[in-house]
Amino acid sequence: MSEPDAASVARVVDAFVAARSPGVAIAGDTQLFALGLLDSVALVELAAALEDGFDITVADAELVPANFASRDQIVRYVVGKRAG
Amino acid sequence: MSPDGLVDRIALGARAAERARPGLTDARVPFAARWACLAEAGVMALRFPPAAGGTGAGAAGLAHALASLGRDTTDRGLLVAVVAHSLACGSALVRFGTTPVLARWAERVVAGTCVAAFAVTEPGSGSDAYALACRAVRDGDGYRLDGDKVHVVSAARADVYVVLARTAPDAGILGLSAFAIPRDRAGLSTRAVAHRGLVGAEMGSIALRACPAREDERIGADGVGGRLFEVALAEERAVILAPLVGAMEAQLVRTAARCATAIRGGKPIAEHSAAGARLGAMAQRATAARAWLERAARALDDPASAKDELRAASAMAKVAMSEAIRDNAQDAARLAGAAGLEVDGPCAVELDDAQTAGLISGPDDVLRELVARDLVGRLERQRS
Repeated sequence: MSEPDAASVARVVDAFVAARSPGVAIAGDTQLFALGLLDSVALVELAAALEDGFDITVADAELVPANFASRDQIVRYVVGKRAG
Repeated sequence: MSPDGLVDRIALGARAAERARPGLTDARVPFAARWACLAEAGVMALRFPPAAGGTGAGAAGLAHALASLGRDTTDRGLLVAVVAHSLACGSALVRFGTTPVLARWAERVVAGTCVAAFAVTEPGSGSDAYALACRAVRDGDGYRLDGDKVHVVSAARADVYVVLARTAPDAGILGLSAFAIPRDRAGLSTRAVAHRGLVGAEMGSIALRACPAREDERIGADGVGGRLFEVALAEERAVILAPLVGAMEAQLVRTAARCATAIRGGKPIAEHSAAGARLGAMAQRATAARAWLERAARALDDPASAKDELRAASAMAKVAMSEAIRDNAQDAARLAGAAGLEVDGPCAVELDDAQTAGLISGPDDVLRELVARDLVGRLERQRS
């Protein structure tokens, strides 16, 4: 698999959010969980989707605000994981 | 050896139960001695891998051990306390703890040389952990905790409390963190609360008033508390009713024996169609409950289990077992006749235990809703 670019990760996140909060447009820094757009179930499902889509393993201990609070943070997290 | 080692893991659980059994037969023996007996028999260590100080029997081995002990001991509440200690607190510390002080607590929890309590439920939020109000605010290099927790198993007896608190008020589910607070910490007080059912679980409340917590007592990173809670509860819910599932088997034998020997209208009770149908239903439910327990425990142990499926799977199993326990307790009492009304008789204890079983580790109604949400969510995603 070629290294994912930020745009491909962002698309996955946008689609995931759109499926759960239809009609809501998000920006890169939109606080997905603070605003209630995603809940605890969605957090784990999003992690699973990222694992499947980008061949990474998301440890439970990594499900933290620094990695998942916003789309930008998720993109940085996934790209960083792939880069090793 | 079976392909996934299941037979061997269950055998480990069975051996631990046999070692513990003699020390649990007399309810007059003090708690500390009975807890030590379970620890020395290796019951608390069953769930965890050798790398964590455990014996590698997994949830399946622990479930088997607790069901076996629950069949013979009347103090099922004590065994429920073992589940809260091992599967809620132990899982939290072993899987998320990274500091030396947390490693020492994890070691003691796995060995059973302390008592750990999981403190999440609050008066204002019930089992909705994400609505909890207990705050942990930064105070110098550490934190200061303020809040109240209720329905805490082993509340007045624990040596360490795994406390879930809000560290970021505006971060939603990512704003929770967990802390390991020792019982002698200033600002922490406890209160036992007399309750019916599973009395040995000794549920009570704790109060935190400007209770200090060090940075190295925070379990995992800041904000991982929500995920820690989900993992811990998926573990606990799958196994917490194991002692009562075992007790159902003894209840069934007792009830069947009475129905086979007590004569009414010239024939044994069991040969009257209504009573026979009730007894048959009891047998079916006891078998089904055992199947649910084993299924849920195996799912926890299976490394291929999807993380996002375990929450609903454990919840569904817990509700199924709870309903079977409740219905069998009611049927056993009916089939016992007047003896079922004795205050100190087995039926009264079983009815009370069943009532508590429906509430502990999350009320059944809430867990059913969780299962429904998961199901609907999956269907919507399949369609999209």
